[in-house]
Amino acid sequence: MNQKYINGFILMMMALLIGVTYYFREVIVERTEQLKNHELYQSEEYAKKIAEYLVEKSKLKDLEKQLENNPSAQKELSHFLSTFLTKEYQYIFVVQKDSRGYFRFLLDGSLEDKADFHELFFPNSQTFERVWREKKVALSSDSEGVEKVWRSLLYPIVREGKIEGILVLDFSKEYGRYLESFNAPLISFIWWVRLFLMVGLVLLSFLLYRYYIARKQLLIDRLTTAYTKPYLETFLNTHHLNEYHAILLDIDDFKQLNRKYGYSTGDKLLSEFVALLKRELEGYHAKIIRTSGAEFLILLPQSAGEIEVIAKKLFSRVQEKRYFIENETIALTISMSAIEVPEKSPSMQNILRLLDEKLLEIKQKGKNNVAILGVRDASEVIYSNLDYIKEALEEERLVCLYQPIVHTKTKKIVKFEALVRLVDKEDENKLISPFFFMDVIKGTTQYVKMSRLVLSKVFETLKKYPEVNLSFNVDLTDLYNPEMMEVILSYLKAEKESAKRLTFEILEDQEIQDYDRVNMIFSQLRNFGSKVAIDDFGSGFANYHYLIFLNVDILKIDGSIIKELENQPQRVKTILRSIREVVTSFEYELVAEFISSETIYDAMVELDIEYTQGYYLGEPNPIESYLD
Amino acid sequence: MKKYLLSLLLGFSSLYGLESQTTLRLYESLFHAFVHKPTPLVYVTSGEYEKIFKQSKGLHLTEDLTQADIVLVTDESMFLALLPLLKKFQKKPIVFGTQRKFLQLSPLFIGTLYWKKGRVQLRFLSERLKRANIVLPEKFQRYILEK
Repeated sequence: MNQKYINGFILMMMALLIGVTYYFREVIVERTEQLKNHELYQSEEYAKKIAEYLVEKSKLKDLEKQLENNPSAQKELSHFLSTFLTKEYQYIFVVQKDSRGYFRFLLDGSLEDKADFHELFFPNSQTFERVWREKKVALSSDSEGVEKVWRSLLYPIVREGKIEGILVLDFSKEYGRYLESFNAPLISFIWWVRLFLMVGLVLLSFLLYRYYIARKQLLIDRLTTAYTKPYLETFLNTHHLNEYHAILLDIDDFKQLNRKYGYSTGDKLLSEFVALLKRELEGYHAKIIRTSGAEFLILLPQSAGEIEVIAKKLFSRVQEKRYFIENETIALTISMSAIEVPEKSPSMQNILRLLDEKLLEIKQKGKNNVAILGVRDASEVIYSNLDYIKEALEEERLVCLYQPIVHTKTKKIVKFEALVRLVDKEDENKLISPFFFMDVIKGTTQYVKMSRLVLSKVFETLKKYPEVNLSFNVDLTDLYNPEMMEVILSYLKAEKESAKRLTFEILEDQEIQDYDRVNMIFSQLRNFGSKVAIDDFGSGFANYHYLIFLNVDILKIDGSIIKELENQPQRVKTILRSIREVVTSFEYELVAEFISSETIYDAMVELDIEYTQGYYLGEPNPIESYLD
Repeated sequence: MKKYLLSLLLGFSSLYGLESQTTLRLYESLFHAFVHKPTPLVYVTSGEYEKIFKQSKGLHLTEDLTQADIVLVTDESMFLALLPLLKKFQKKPIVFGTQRKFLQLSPLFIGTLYWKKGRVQLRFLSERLKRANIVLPEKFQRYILEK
């Protein structure tokens, strides 16, 4: 789950828990209050009996008149009241309201702070007034100006509908504390839980704040304020790539600018450049990501408009912009490739690869240009998706096409080169060139899987056609891989007859460091009667150096040399003659590839190149088309 | 711990009890009704009351009886010692007591504040208020007695 949502969820849960503690506290307080009131109203029975007794004792007159000028009655009834005093009651007394509206003491059964008969009393509570008015029992709660008393039960002394006094039972604060203490541990516990949660929430919020600050610093390039590369991953977690246009651009010769004007000026240029991009793309909700030094990836929603229009407009704006550096005015040029990400292309890696290749092409052709990748380029991006390739291999949607290698003079086919193709998922007649998938799967387990499948098909063909010789491309790094080597050797062991008709065409993209090891690998292959060919001889690392150290059977001249025959025939022919002479001396076989025209073929005849291969002599096709 | 944390939250003022706070509020309210000054000067000898009044921002204590706007008599010894002195004053300060009986014992007292049955009780005599030119606000009117 996205980190942002996890954080939000945790915060919400903590807030919810705090809310729950509030709820529980309220419920407990309410229940405690009910319990307390229940306890208090139990005293109502006492009050009722006392009131009845007092009324009974003053049968003929009302209570005040009974007590007035009658100290013995006052004493007797006050004593009677005091007999009800327990630890729950602080005071017990009777008050009455006089004609002027003042409350006055009639009786006092309290042990302390005794009141005189008719002494004025200000109860500081509206409940007294209410009880006097409504003649109904009531509880009076704490109020300002009241001490020692927790609550008071006020019981009206009523005779024949007329109120004669209020019997007051004051509950002591100690009793209140005692009742409160029932649920105090629980309330305390909830209080602690709430405190813990609140502190946790504060700390968590602080940590989240720090996390977001750190994350922001990580995701935003300080120099240019463009996003950094890690942002791309975050962005793709929450957005569908196929809803965006992608533009890859690189400032041409930025290293030279840095060298010429210094790095700090270079930094200023970069900042200004990004500011320009932001200005130009304002309103498009574009994401500008600095992918390396002076290279930027721009993602903008497809709803912003056509990619070609946007890219070209941006390109021209960048060209128009002038920068003032050290009393000089300079312009930056950029190389730019852009694509409308196709519906079925979920991998950013593939898009970047495609854009990068195009960008490289622009750079090689002189920089300062923009290229918009077409629908075909875009649709083929899917073929570079590892999941797509994996699925194709799992479904064994893989075929081998065979291109003939002919004896130059007789034009008789002597061998076929097996060339691998994937079959399109939607259209089984559409074959996918290794250009799209080979680099993607190299070094992965899928590559071994594919090689195993190709070997299986090659040996199948060898078995089916006992007169046919085949060659098969294998990368030198594959032969270093014990797993791959095991696969190859197991086939060679199992199909010894076929092995003799198989040639391994060795490709390499790095210089050989350990020739002994390579010779040992070649020996293992040759032990089964297979031949070893050096592919692309004359270019890259495959050069004369190999001839000194490696024992092989065949040299295949690099296609780029053959291609140049049309442009510089004499020079190429000289080189080819030289190669032929060397090969003849070593008693190797010589094959020329890329024979695409009759002219080139004739040149090969003239140069006495023994074997040739190319579209002019035969395209890669199913082997049956050549044999049946 | 809980109380300690609450104390910290509520500040220093809560370090003395509720009763003291209640008492202080009552006295502040009363004394400002008696004297229309931002900080009336109060003379009191009781250590307990001094401690309470020191927490007040609206009342100032004075040790000079002649400067006092209000004299608060809190016990019999103070009553006995001060009354002869006060009688000699040309401009008498307002004398207020903390016991009911003081009101009956001396005409110098305009009123008293005391506790009965855990409830604060106020008494003023209208004639003495008039004499001292004191008009109490509405909330104290019910405590004014004719005699």
